[in-house]
Amino acid sequence: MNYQRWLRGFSVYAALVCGWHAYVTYAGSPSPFEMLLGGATRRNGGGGIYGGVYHK
Amino acid sequence: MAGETQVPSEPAGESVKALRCPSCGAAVTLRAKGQSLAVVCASCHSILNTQTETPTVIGDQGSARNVKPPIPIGARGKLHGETFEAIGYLRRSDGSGNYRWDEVLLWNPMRGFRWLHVYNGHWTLFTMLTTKPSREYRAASYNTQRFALFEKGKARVIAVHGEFYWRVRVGDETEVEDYVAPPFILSQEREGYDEITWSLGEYVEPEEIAAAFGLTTPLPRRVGVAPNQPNPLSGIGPELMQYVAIALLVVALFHFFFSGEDRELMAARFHYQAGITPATWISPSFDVYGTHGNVGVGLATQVEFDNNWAEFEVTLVDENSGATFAGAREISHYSGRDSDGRWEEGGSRNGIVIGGVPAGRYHVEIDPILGDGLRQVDVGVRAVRGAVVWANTVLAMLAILLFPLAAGMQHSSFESQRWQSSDYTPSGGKAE
Repeated sequence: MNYQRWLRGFSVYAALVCGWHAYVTYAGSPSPFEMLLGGATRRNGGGGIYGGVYHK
Repeated sequence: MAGETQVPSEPAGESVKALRCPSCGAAVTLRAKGQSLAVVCASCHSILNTQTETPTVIGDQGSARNVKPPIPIGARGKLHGETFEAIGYLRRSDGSGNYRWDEVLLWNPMRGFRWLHVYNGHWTLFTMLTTKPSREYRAASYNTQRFALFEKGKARVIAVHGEFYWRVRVGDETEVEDYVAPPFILSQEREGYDEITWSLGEYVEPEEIAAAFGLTTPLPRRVGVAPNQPNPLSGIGPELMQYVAIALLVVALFHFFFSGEDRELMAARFHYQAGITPATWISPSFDVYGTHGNVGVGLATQVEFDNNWAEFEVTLVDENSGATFAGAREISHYSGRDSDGRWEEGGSRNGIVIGGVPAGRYHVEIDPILGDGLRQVDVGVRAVRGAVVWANTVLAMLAILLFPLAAGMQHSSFESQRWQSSDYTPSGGKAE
């Protein structure tokens, strides 16, 4: 089978996606879209690049 | 190629014969005695007729004598479980002379002849057929397998080395038709009106050729996609979809088992009037429990705005440490009418998810900013622990589905590269 390498590649890729999803779901993280829209970040003691983006 | 496959009766070792070139006097070895009708003198490059008692010169290769075979004449190699010896070599070109390829004639006294074609670094092992494939409109069938017409054209001999089972000459020309069903290819050669030969070829990986013949010099790199080169992703569909289904199931399980419980912590309403009420509304205090998870703050206005907006700066304040989590959300509603009829966008709700909020006592502060002409607003506020974030799950599922999409595109791209060099289409049509 010539496509075994692709299947192995998919297994690694899917494991990474599932790992990321498990982490953000467990942590209750906002979605990346929400972060880009100006999602809530911890202002004191945490910070974050989206903090302070409030006004239109 | 012309002639038919014949399995000689002589055992290996007794089929070699030594001749003397009538042109230069050099010794000429005939490796398939009784089968070969022509041999090229390695010394003066005269083409000799070996059917007569004493060889006679029937041709010369002229300027093509310095062309080197990709597999040396006399080299032996095991292909598909059988040992073959390279005894002849042709370089051929199409009618225009723009495309050139090499053909190596292989010989096994018990198995007969085979041909190895190499073009742009792609190798195909051909066996001549004794049964004729059936032809259809721009297709051919052999052993229940259907082959699509790939190309029609001429093949002209431009260089020869070694020996052949017909009286080969430089300049010999045949009509060729190729039909493909990767990794197989059916090739028809027609010389005149009555001499038709069919051969069945199978793609061979270059590494297999190098290993079989013990070739130490690197083989030419593969260029493009060969007509019968197997698509690396051919047949991946069912197995890949099983993998994808498992991955999607895992994501769904994570979502249902790991997502928060969406428990309400606080619910309140406030009225804001610009310049009258305080600029910041402060919610009642509430306890956040648990070691991990988010806090979601939902906002809803009592009525939809009439082509207006309001922005709410939301701050979750940890009353013990003073740490704050901040963000902003807009609620807007617009409507109107255009040539397509009535349109509407926005709504009366929005929310914010604040990730990684530790346990503690908190309250929410909200600073409304109203759009032009908007003086007051009634807002409902709800805070929950463990707000379910569907977007992350949808994103993970899309990321997983991206892979089969990429595989499908790669498969299509390979096929389109294959058919780029054809005048026809896989379905039997004529390419534009």
